[in-house]
Amino acid sequence: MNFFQDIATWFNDPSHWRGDAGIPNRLLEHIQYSICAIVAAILVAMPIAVWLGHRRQFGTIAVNVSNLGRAIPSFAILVLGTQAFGLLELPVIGSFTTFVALVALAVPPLMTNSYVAVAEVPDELRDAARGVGMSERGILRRVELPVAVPLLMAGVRTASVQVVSTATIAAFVGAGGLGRYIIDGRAIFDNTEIFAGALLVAVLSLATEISLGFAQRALTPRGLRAELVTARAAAVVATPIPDGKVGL
Amino acid sequence: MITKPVRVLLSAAVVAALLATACGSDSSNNNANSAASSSGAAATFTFVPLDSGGPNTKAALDKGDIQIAVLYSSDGSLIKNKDKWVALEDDKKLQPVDNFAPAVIKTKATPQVTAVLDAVDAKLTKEAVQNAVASVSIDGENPEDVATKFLTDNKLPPSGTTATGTFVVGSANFAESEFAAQLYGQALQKAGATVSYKMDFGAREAYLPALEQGQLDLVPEFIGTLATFLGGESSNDLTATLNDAKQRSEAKGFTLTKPAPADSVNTYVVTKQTADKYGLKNVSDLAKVSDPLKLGGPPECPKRQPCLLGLKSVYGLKFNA
Repeated sequence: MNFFQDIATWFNDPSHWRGDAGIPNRLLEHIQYSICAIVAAILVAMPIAVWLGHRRQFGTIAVNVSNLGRAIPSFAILVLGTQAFGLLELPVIGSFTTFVALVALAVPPLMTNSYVAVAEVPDELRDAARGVGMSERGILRRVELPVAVPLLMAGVRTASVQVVSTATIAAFVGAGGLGRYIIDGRAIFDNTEIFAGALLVAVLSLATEISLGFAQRALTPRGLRAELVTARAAAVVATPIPDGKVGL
Repeated sequence: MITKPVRVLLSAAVVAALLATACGSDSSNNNANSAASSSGAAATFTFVPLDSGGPNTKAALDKGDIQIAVLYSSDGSLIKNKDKWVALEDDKKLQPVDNFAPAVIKTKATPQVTAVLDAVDAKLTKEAVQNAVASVSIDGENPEDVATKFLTDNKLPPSGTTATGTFVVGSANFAESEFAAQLYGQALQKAGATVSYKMDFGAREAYLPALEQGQLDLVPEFIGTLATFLGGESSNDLTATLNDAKQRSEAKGFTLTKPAPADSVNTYVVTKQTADKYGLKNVSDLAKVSDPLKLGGPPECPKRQPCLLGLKSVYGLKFNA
């Protein structure tokens, strides 16, 4: 039997689809660890980055401090965390050290993207908003944030895909998730199980990327959606503008 | 058209729903555990996949996340922690023997050389190896110095033994093997042989061919693992395993001298509190425990006879994996 047939047989085996070690449960665990880490990282990074972006201050400091999370390997956090906290399991978030490692991984792209997203909002928009008498909070909420959505969401996408693909390390500290197949398969030299696990992680990462892409589109204000803008621009070029009024 | 507050509310609801799902699956697991604990006598234990006698397993044992740890009997941390850990006696002999023994090229295993190596092995007890491994892998001492000290302390090689010839001694890349290689090498040197070393030669796949081809003359081995590697079987019978390993080795041009009492096999370790609480001394005592304990070990454990398979079939323990 060749390798791909082995993989197909593995996925066809009903015992791989039920119980704690089954694909549905491992998938849920993987999603659970990932969502908890991403939500926590968003809560930590985004408010600070957005506010600093609005002030256009201390961006370099915030980005560099958060980059520590990228400088320390997730695996190192995992090993040190286990020495300090053991296999501490918390309700909802699951394995605590895995959670810390994943949050540390997710914060840098969120911080950088969110800061840049708000800081790079065109000056004309802010000046216009200030000119019509909007408050600072109003400018942030009603002008800067909507305009910043595409870049903010790009940060969420990057962070989420990284977290989903890295959540496999939970298996190193006895927790669940799709990494179990990779670690357990390696322990008994079962290449089929390793590959099946890797395949599931890859599919979940792609699904994350694609679904967040749709979310990004849905959250972007209509006027800013790229294809709408280009479509209207094309329409403007195509139709003669009466009385010299600007079509856009 | 969805208004903005509604959109915020919707996204909040989605997040809340997802967290609730996660929380829900978690609490259902807890329910399953508590149901198992209340079901009376022989409890179903949980297996936690960690590492092969590594830092995670030890940290988990110390923090109380697991109550039983699978460690190696040659692990230095067993003697370092002898005040707080208890290694359970394998009273039903589940573990196949895997004692230390030097593999020597047949032509160089003269009676004098064998006498020197046998004298060393006679003193190489489980505690002696644990102490040496603790010095090397926990205190960071040089295997060479640890071996020298062991020979001096035990007055080895015994006076009157002599050895001749030249030996290239190899070792694998872990503390037990490095220490044992130095031990055999230095003993032969003190007895009069010319010895040089090729430490950290690599895995068995690398050093056994080197031994066969005469690039190495002596390598520390474990008789059970060696027998299995050469296509034989290791059992809990020392003589049978040794004879099998020896026969297969001699077909390849090297032989084994008398094995040491020390070995490197799975050993089940509990904390002193756990041992006192349940009255544990032997592995078989675990069958009387009515609480659902957790056992942490290498991820391959559920598929291995000396590990979960044997704990179930030989000791009659129940596991959820």
